Amino acid sequence: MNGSAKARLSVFAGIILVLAAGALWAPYNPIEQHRDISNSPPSALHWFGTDDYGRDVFSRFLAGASWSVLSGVAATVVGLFLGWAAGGLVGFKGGKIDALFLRLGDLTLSLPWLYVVIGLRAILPLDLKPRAVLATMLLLLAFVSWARPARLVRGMVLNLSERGYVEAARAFGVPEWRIFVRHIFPGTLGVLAAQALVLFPRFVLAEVTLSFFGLGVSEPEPSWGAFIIALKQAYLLREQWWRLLPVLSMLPLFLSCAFAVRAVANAYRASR
Amino acid sequence: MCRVATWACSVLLLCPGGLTTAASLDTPRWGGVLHVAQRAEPKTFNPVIAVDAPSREVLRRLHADLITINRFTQKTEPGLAESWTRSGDGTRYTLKLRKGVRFSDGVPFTADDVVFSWSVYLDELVHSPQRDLLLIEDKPIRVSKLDSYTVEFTLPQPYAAAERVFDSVAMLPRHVLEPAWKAGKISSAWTVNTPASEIVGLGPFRLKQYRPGEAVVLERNPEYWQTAPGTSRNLPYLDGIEFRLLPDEGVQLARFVSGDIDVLNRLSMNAVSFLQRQGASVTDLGPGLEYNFLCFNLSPASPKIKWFSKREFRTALSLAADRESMARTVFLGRATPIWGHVSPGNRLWYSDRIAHPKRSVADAKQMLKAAGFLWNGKGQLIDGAQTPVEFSILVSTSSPERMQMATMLQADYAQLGIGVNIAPLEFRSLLDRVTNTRQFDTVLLGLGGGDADPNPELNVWLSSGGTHLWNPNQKQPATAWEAEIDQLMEKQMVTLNPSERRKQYERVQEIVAEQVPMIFLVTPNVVVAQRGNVGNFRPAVMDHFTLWNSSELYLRKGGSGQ
Repeated sequence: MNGSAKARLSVFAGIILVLAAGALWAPYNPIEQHRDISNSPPSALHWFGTDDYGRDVFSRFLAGASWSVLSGVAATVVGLFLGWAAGGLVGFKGGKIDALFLRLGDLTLSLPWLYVVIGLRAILPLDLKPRAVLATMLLLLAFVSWARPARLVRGMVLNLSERGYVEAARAFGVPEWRIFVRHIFPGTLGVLAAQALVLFPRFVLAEVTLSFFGLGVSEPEPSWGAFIIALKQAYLLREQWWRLLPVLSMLPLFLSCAFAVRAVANAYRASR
Repeated sequence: MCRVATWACSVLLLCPGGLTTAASLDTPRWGGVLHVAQRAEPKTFNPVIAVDAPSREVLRRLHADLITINRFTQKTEPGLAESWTRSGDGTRYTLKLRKGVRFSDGVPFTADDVVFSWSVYLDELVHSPQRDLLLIEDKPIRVSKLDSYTVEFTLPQPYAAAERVFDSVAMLPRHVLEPAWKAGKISSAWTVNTPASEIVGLGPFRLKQYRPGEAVVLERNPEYWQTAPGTSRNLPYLDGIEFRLLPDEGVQLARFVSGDIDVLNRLSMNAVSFLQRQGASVTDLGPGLEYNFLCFNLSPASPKIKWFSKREFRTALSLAADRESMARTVFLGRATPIWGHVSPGNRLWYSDRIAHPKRSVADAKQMLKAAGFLWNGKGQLIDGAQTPVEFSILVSTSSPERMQMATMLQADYAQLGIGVNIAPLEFRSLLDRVTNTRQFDTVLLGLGGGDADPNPELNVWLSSGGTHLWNPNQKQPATAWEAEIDQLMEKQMVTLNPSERRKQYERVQEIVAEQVPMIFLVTPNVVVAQRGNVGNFRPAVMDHFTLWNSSELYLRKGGSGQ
């Protein structure tokens, strides 16, 4: 990996760290209402202005960022683990379980996840705290997202299983589990890293989408999706242009992620 | 009994007088097509089964009723019946039909069509939403033909609002629909795929074309029976109306500003501010009939019933709700705080005897203390068993205003130490929980009668009603105050003396306000807009706010249809 790629990855990691700790930087309590200053424009006191209830939008942006980034990371970890476990197992063992896995993967990939989540929200107990609701949703998303990384891992495991050093290990009588851990698992890490960079922004966007539809983090907790809702009434932006500020401020995360993915892809091509 | 539970948003109120004085001085101009924005597609062109607002808005222009409610004066006036008389005991109405009236296909309208229409609406197999309107105490209003132009309606008992029942019951062409009804297929007649020429009515317009996803186009009905004042020429003034299907309010506004749309119906408050800045002609009709409220689940199986059943608890929550802020913040000042279910916009039935207690968190806390609640070290409100008081507010994801109100209540109740979870749900899921499964703590909803009269909301206030939201379908009234409401509502239904009836319904309002099964919050204003090119424009708060007098509307020079 060259210096430019490392720099891109570092920027991405830095942005994630800053945003994950966003709630710590928030200048005001993000849920405290001051109804006498609702919908104020940006000022020295309130950099992004205030919302309909007089809450500081910049504080809500930062606090919402923590939740979006951390939930994105958590869902990515769960999704990748499930995908790696399933793909690794069927790739290494093969047989009937492999065919079943492929069909199950097709089924999962064809699920309209948004509708699944909407349906699930309708049957959840209402007493759940807003974050518990969102955590449930994101776990569900992670469960329905296992198929793509699992297929990639399966392909990689099949490929690695036929390598000479694996055949040699088998000839020397090394136990299967040890072959998997020592010779095959390390070979799948590159795929997992690349998938992590692909899945992470998807999960962050999933949280934003759910909140946009009113199904994610509910009030009074801050959420990035709530800022997008303002864009539904685009005509408002002519007068209240500052409603765009939090939305524009999300861009660095997604752009840096895109650059990081490009850097990893280039590094992979160069290594071949 | 009349059963109508109208969910949200259909509202009725007089608009302030003199709004269109200048318009009424113009000489009406013939011709042109009026362009109106509509949010959703019509589901059917069959008035017998239409329940959705978009279908009904189109159908109201295609059909006519015997007696109609003038949306501006709120009083009944002749429609297809030119006059009527009531028997001394109030159980028989004799209606004289207009002679010479023809359907849009040229066939004369007679008493046979009235008898046929009534039979269709009352047919249990048809499942018409109008059927419940035509029942009093579960017994139907019967009709008989006295001669070709005279019909007699017999009521099972006196009914205070009998004349209003005829409004919005479209008269059907027997010669077209009888075969379908006899074959048991009337529900599948006149779908959105039916050729426009087969749809026949008595309204000022007839269907010309339906372009799915784009527009519903109506053209002048050449057989329409009403004549223009001072002429012998038949109304309507307009050549047609085009309902342009624009689901997004932002797009509607852009098209309105660019001149593609002449009339906008029921605007959001943000849209009002935007249009005012653009210099558009916006009419604020003042408070409508819609009332927004937080309803407690008082069903015996409600998990929070031990708190909610205490009147002091409910009253304390009402005291802590900041209605003024809601009106100011959520509706940008275009709403009125309310403490009862009849909005100040309902001039016929609003009672100024309902108390308007000032918001006071201190008084609310005092009341909770008196009811046996305490606060723990963390400032949480706890009951006698040391359980922290927490509940959820169910709210529809499709209503940003109610989401905002719920958020404000959440902050208001946090000041009492009460934890509130907001549970946003898709509207159908929400309705299922409220009316069927009863799996909710509280719900934030809006209701509003299509009519100012109390009777369409009988089902909400009677304890046996399916939309008696806090505890529906009771076999016997669960409380003494609900029993009293039942008695009063049943009495007012048959009381023909208006002042007696008013007293009875005022008492109902007082009981509801005292017992607080619902916390009434705000009534939003009804605001509409037109480009300034529509003559005889007399918007009213009753649905359809702007097109109720479509036969009289005309376009001044320079309209989009020119």
